[in-house]
Amino acid sequence: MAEDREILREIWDGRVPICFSLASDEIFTLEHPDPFFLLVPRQSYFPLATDRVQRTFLKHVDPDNHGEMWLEYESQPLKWHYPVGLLFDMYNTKGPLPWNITVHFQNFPEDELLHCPSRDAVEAHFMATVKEADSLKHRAQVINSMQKKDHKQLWTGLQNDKFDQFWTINRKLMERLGEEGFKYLPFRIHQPEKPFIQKLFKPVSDEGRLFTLADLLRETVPHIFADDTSDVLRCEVYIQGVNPPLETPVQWLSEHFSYPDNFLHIALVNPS
Amino acid sequence: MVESSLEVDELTEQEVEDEESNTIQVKPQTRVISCEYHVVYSDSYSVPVLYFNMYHDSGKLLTLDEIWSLVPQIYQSRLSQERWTFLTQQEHPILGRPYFQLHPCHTASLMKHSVLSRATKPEISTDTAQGLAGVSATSHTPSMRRKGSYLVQWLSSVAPVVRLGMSLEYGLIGNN
Repeated sequence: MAEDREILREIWDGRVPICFSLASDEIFTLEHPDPFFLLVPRQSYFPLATDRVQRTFLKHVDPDNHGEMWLEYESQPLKWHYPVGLLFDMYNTKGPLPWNITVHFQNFPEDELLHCPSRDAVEAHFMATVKEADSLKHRAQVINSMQKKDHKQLWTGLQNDKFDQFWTINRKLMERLGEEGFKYLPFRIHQPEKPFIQKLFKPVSDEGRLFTLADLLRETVPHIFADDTSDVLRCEVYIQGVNPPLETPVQWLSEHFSYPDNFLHIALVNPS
Repeated sequence: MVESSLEVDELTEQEVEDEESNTIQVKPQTRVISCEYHVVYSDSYSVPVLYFNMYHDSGKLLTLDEIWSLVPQIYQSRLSQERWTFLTQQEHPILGRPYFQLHPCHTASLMKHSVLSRATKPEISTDTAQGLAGVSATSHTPSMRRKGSYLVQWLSSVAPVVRLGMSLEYGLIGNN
């Protein structure tokens, strides 16, 4: 059970400052649009935060030659289906603030980005991820025992930035159901230019020992350790914008540092 | 992985002027769509999952609406109620690129009415599931035949939804 409410609240309230600029080669009007500054919630998804950015910039592109909006940072298309905070951890944790993101309406990179035809797509993706997380944690017993209106409340809580509305339901998904921990840990390890790593991992051993972040990393990405004996890492590990101590139990991290989709998204960042 | 192509008849207005009689004929056009299918075992749901892409001959990916419109008529009413939880674009778990996916939550209900699901579902390892996706009609050991039957049963339940044709030889697996 996620007991430390203060931490949950801090995580929920996290924001990243972003400067959105329209791609210069797509500017069609004589008057160039000013960059658009926003404080975007870490726990949210870009399509939920960029309506006004889209409306503003659309006025300045070629009306006969534009398609779906997409975002890019240093030539890297940004996956809208990843939480904003995860993308920040992956790409700009060392960078200057605000985070400078380029907005495009042409040449949508279909081989890299999912299309986002509507908010329904974001909701569907979010709920599917929550369900997958519960399949891992509780064999989907908790999510399947909830009513449709409870599922909806998770989504509207996230969409409208309502912590209490969201956590009233989410705390049930964070319960341990009498065991020491979840059946399997819902987590993903994100590395530059590689598909994410997701494996079956029990957060608690059969003897009741709580596995740590170090245990998880040794099991899934052993190559990031400098050697077998010490916990010295070749890269940095970010979860929710911080480097948690390697001895932190992953069960605790799952309950407190997961994103609203109920996954622990871990970013491995090359040291600068 | 399976690659195939799909011919879809489409009534588009291709105006063909007949000079002699001054009439315009509307010619039905056949589009060819290239399809690519992958079966990936999901650890999270303990079932195989179907991923696929379909491309126009221009190389452009079909849109989600176009994909939904290709789902056979008998599934359309279900699709209209649950489209966002049934068939959507996802990130391929191994390739990391966009693919359309039939949601694994529905595998159980698609398989519910099959004869085989009454037997205990065999444990399928990732290798076995991926290897059996391209299995031939020759039979193997009895336990492999059972696993092969589950996968064939699963695939024959989901394949029609996404227009994947299956050779009748698949039906010979496990039936000795």
